[in-house]
Amino acid sequence: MPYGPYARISILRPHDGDTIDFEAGSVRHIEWHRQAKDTWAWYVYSVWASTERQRWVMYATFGHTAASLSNPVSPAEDEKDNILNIQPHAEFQGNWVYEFLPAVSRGNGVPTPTLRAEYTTVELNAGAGDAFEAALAFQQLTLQKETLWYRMVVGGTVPCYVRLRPRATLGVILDEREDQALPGTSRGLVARMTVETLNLRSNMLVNVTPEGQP
Amino acid sequence: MMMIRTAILLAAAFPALSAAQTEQAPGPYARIATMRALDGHGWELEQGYLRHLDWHRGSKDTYGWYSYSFWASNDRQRWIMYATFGHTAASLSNPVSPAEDEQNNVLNVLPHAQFMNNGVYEFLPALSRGNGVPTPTPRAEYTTVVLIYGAGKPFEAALVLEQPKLRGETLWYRMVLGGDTPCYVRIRPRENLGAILDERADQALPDKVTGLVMKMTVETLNLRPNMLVNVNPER
Repeated sequence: MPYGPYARISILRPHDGDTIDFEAGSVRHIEWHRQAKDTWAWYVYSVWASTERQRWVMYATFGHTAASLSNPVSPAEDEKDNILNIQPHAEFQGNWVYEFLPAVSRGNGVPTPTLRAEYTTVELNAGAGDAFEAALAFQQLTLQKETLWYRMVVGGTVPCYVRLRPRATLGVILDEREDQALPGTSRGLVARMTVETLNLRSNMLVNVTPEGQP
Repeated sequence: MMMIRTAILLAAAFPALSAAQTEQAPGPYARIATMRALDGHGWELEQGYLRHLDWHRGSKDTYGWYSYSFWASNDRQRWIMYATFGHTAASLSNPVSPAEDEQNNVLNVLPHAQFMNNGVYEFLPALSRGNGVPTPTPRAEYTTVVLIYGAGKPFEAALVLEQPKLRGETLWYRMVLGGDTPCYVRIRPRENLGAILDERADQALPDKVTGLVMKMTVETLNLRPNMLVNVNPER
């Protein structure tokens, strides 16, 4: 069955000096999701290379229809457990819904759960979305490996896009640094481009099996 | 004896040449990260960080780790920069015992610090004078240049033309991962603050890049001789 187009991506920042409690609370909350028989696949990453978000924790779920994203498991109990285990130790810094863009991507919108990923955020000048996507569409045929583009639908200033490139190691990400660049025709459209890397948290996944692990 | 003396004099006159003859050229990648002591935790961070560096030594880490304190700075005074230079992509992908490193970090450093940024940079030899691994001098001038989007190529082209004029060690790096791009840093290791000030005229970027630069920040770093791993401070 094909995947739905929507992804939810959120990020939180552990309180200063509270990392151990935050990690323990996160593991307990993830266990709540497992016990609640959550059918969603939850990815959790730590931001590694970053100017503003180093060591922040990103949690995300991909491949949803609008209907499925509207029906999370036991929202009231989820929130109760969240208040108990996460909120005392972290600050929620953002929560967004994105739409996968298959015409400019290589992949199916559900990232391979590799141990590392390059995560690029592109903020455009107002009204530049269509031209930007047209420029990316031309580049699509040249994509060699999994490259997933998403357009922000709700959660912040638009137009905004993220590109996720899951890779096995930091070395592979560095070896492919030339592919970071956006098409030359996007110059004049881009207000800001930020390139970060993510480390998959293998012990914090729900219904996701890290690549290379049984 | 005369031959030995001549060899010493030659090595002193051409340190880069003698190093190149005996060592493999360093890889292009550097990791540069900064952390800030939590308010009131300065002493605890210093002690915890020293314990953490001891863990690196005990784990036979082969990376060269530099530590600096920011000295002249608007936003980052007293923050600690830790960095490692001269890596290939493969070597930077293979740090020593990452899980144990993180465990020790959580125990000794994280309770007392906020990690502020972490970037991977690529050394740009055509713009630089030096080999991408800074001489571990007691002081360094550290310049960060943030460009407008899409201005990387003309910026580098302008700096290439200036390269023959560089007199002292001047190392340019392009950020590959870890923030807004395009972004560059320049490190100029120097013996003392006086040398940095005497060379203040060399701080300026070429006139040609004026319209490309969004922000340029010049800070200075103090090397922390007791916080180095596999790095011998220059005497």
